[in-house]
Amino acid sequence: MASESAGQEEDKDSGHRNHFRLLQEEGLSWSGMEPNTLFQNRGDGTFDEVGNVLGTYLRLDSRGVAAADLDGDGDLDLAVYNRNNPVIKIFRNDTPGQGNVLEVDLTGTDSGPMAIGAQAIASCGERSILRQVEVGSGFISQPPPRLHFGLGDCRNVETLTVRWPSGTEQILHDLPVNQRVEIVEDDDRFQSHPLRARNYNRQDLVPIAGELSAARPNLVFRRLEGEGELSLAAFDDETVVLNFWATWCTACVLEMPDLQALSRRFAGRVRFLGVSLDQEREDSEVLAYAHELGTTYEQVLGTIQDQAPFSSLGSSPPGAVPLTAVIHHGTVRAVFVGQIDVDTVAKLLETL
Amino acid sequence: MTKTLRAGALLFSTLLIVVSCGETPAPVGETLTSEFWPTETYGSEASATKSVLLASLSDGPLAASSEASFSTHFRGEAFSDRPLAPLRVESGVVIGDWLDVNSDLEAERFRANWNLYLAEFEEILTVEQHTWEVQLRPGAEGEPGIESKESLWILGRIPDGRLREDRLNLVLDLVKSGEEWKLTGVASEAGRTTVAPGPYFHDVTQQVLPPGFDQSGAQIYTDGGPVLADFDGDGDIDLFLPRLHASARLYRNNGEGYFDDVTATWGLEVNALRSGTNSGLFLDFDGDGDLDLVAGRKREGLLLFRNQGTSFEDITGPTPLGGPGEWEALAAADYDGDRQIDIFMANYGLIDADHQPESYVDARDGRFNVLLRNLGDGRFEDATEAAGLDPNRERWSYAAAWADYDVDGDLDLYVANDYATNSLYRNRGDGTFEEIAAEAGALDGGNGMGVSWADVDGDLRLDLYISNMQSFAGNRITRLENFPGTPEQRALYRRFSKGNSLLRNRGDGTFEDITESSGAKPAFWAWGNAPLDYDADGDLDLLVSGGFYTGLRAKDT
Repeated sequence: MASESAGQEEDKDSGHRNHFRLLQEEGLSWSGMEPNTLFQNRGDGTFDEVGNVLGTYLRLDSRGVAAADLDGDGDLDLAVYNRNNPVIKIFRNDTPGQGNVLEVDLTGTDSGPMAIGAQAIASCGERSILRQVEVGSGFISQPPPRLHFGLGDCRNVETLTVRWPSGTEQILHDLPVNQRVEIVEDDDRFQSHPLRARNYNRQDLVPIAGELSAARPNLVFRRLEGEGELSLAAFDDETVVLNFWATWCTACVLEMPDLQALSRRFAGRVRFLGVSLDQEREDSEVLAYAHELGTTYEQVLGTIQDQAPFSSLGSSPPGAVPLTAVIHHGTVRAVFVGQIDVDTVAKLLETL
Repeated sequence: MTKTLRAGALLFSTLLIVVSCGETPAPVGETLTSEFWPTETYGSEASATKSVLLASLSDGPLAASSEASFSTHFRGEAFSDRPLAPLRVESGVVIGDWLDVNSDLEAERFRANWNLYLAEFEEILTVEQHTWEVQLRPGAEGEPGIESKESLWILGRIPDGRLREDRLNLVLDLVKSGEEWKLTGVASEAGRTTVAPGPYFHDVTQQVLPPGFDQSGAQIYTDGGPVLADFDGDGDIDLFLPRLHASARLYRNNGEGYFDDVTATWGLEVNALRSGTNSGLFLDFDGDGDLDLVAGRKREGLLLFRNQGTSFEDITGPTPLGGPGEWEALAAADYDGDRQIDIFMANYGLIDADHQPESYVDARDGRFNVLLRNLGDGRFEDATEAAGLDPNRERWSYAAAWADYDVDGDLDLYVANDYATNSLYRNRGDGTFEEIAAEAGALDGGNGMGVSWADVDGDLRLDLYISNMQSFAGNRITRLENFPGTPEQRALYRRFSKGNSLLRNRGDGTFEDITESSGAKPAFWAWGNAPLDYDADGDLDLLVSGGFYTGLRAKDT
């Protein structure tokens, strides 16, 4: 292809001019209307495309994209830059049942101010995760230099190993999850800031209290304290607050003190029941965790299938936690998805 | 030979960029003749017949009136209630691959079955059809015929309220009988059903950005990306938006994900940012602990804004850094270990109706990339040659990313190029580089647009994920027997239209191309990519942004 005749040059030019004319004057497209793509990792570096069913579908002509925790709740939101109108789109991540996270800001001394290129490895249970500090990547974009570690159901980062560009390796121990920590090179103290509770999009997900009147599902749970099973039918002449939760769920953990306070306030009038979805954990471990969070109401073990009849009353996804249902004399009167608002729940319980 | 390949290259350049969104492309360019590419002509002629299944998705069941599209010799597969391979479930998303069925339905039963299949959806939201490959398959009587491989994606709601997407890979057989094209067969090579409880991502643009700012788009070669960092040090992530045809904006996060426009109060309502910018980075270039801003003017070069605590001060000097060019991505790192942050500037080539690259697979007539070495006090020098970044600096470079990929204590650089292979510059440790993309197995020939370093397989090594162009038309013509060139050249052209690449870091300084087995290849005309663990389960997922130019009409050029 080294040499070309003048005639071929002409062909080439007229072809392209024609092409641009079709675009500009006749309003045709050129690889247009193409959706963005979200590849979900199966855990081993192989992927399934899930963007269209998860809401990242966007038919604009997108250019740069960067992920960042824009609302400070621990999950990664998206900023998408487009050629056409609207130029910028912000997508908030409302994925239900996400794992714990650790966010890390690194400040270098010997490694320069931003420690660009620093690699950090978080070890949590069986898992080790590598992230690096970078300034500029993808296509003409800058994701923030803040590191984001998704930890699944792991609750304690045993070690965080930082390979600083200066060559030193620093190991920090026992970092708390669902925090943003600030680490300075060669300083083993760190500052930590709690992350905000995850927001479900309340408009989309929360059915409104007081308007429901559905028969309670017929559910039988396994007791975590003591032996045997516990049937919802046993409480048909009582008021029950059923709270589905999991040890890996940030919003659940954050709302449990509120539930405990409510259970005290309505003691003798309303029965509170915690339904853990932690099928994979030891019963004793789950129970110990619930007690650690200060709850004294009864805990049982349930499944996502148990939760589904409640989530289907609204438009919330099955498996979303926390989910709190109020059942009065065998009738479901309210379902709350996401962290409860104490006053709303209290007000409802007063009327029953 | 040269002449034929040149013609092939021209076709490639016009066709590879074509995607048929339910419509086949109209011929473009004088050299596209039915003698040379009959499959394109036939595909175009048969488009109404091919679209009969597509039409049933919007217009209702396949009615008796569609009968004319089916040959009397038609044989088709069953689609309703397909058996699925064992389901995969990840973060509430259920994925099932279709198992093969050996049904052999004649036309009427096929149509009835297809209608049953559509009834599995309560509501169909969107449909896409793309043509991957067309081969000549003359009919029994020698009449013109084609086998057309199509992907048909159907996104809809099922009765329980969940979202379901089916991806069908159809093999359509068509013959021309008289002037009419008829379907003689419909089969599915592979298919997949994906079901999710509902969208996990919500578009909150209107809620979180201040109202009334100019969101209007611009011309075809407009580019840009979001620039994110905590520039005011209050703990949350702020946003700078470069704009080629409007005023760049600076948005400050209020701590809860809502943004205020602080462009004026932070001193960025200046002439140099009124238009013409396409890039930016927040970085501490003066080493005083806060984040400064650099903004790239696409045609003129780089502007420097020093963070003074409550405002940015323009310290660019008389002319932007880098000088005239076709500037694209910026990537910063301290490559020479002097604790000052240096900046790599990728430079593209001039492209419009009158200017094209000299080659579509090996272009060397781009503008020169530049490495700016930080001298302190807001001064930079061009260190490209001194550092050994001059090999392949004349490529049409779009993107760059730094990482110590070989963990030897210094930062290496990967550059993604359009119309050519990519470059990997290994840092020798003394502030100089050697270009080792070929030896390291990291050339990745393709139309490279974006690149990220990310450990996608969890082995604690940084792999490379590269956004490339994927072209349906390119796939079609490069698979034809009469696509010109040697087998090597044909393979090269085919590769350039294939899609994204994933290069696994072996840990010995080299890479293994795991694109094909990874499933992360097809992402349309891809530009950006963002590795992110969206569900916080410990592994990195990949968001790819794409699409080139959507005009007023969906029909492609």
